[in-house]
Amino acid sequence: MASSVAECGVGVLFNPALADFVADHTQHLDYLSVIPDRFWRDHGLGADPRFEDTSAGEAALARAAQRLPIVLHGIGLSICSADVFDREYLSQLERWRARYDCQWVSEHLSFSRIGAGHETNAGIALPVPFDRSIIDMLRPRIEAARSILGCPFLLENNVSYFTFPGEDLTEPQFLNELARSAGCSLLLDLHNVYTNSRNHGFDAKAFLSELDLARVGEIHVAGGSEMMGFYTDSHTGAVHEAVWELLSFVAPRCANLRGVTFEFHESTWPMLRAEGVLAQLERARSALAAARVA
Amino acid sequence: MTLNPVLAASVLRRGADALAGYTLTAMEQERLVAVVHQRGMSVNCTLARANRFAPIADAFPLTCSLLKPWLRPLLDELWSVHRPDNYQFAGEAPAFSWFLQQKLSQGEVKHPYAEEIFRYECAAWALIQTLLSSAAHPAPDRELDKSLTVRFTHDPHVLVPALERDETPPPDLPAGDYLVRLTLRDDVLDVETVEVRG
Repeated sequence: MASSVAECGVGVLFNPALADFVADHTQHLDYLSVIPDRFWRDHGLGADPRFEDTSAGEAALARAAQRLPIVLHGIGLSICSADVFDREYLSQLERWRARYDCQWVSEHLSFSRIGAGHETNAGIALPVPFDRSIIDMLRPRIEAARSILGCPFLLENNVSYFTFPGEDLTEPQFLNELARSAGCSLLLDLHNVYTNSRNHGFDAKAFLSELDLARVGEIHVAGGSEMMGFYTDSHTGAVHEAVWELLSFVAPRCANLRGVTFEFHESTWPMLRAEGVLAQLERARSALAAARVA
Repeated sequence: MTLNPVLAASVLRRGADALAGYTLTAMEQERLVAVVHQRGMSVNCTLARANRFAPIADAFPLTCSLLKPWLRPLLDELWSVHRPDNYQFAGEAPAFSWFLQQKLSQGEVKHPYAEEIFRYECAAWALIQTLLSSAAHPAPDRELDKSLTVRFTHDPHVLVPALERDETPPPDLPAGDYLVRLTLRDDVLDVETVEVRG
């Protein structure tokens, strides 16, 4: 796979609606991003066995893996949970990384699990304050993740519908400091940046200009929808036009970008169909081509 | 607070006093109180509840449609005692099924068609779970049970299609005794009435 923006690829985040699409349109994809948690049931910390394969869907994944590189996008680590750092989960991620020979693994810079045994799961990526103490907590965890996984470990900037008062750092400062001190890369979710910029009233390009874009290894692009007077990261249908604009803005500046991934919720497949997904991939490819010229 | 609207409402009303049972610094308390006053917190709670409801609606769509006016208090009661332990809310449909079964058997949920529609969807769900489980853990020497029968007390060929169209079924369907067989054929659920006693 690609090692610089000049060779950066285009992929899609796999969901069940894409099983036939991936088989029929392999030539339009450079890689497939996969949420491995979709293929197992997690019985919780300390359970034996902790993880149980649950889905016949892995057959489709295995077929896709014969033709496309796979990268993992975990949703279950909850790396920002204060109580527990889940090495069992990381080991499971590593088993899957090895199974599909993945070149990188990403996770969310958030928490969803609470309680000393992580017995409650909010099922939503909850934000943490941009404080130095959070960086101090995360640094050894990220170093452990990098060591266990043995491949680049990327963390995704979060979407948040509220803000914490009195934070030590701005979000770009926090992401820069975290990536620098822990040696990780960033998965820059441009739709999350756009969503936050709309809901909290800041300039997305100014945010991106403050970010150390050399740390960005992968970019996510997506669409959203309105709810209760907010714009939400619902992954509805096609990529929002403003997000394409942000991609064109950052792509030439991301020297180590390896992939641009389109993500959508499977329930919105009828809005897209194969033609719609292909159009998103083509648009991403065009933005990368323009970035090479720029 | 994302999962517990009662706690969120309490913090909104009483401020940091409502958080006295938690080991929090003054700064953490102050932040949580500030967060709960932001409109985005309502969005957060709504998204979490919608995500949590999705597997229930997926497994029991007709039951949920039928019980729409009572659904919110039912879910509030269930979720006040049952905590999700999985990011994808894998345990939510079984928990809802167990909870509604109790409510129906204790007569706390009363609807002329609720029991039979719920039985029907439980059977369909059980067949799908069996199929998924067999795909994940193949046992070639074991015959897969692909059929279940469900008893209806009203004509399922009127009741089910109406709910599938998201229409309120006629309130005065004549009572009867209908035995319906559900069969999974090539991943499609086939429904046939095998016995009718008027």
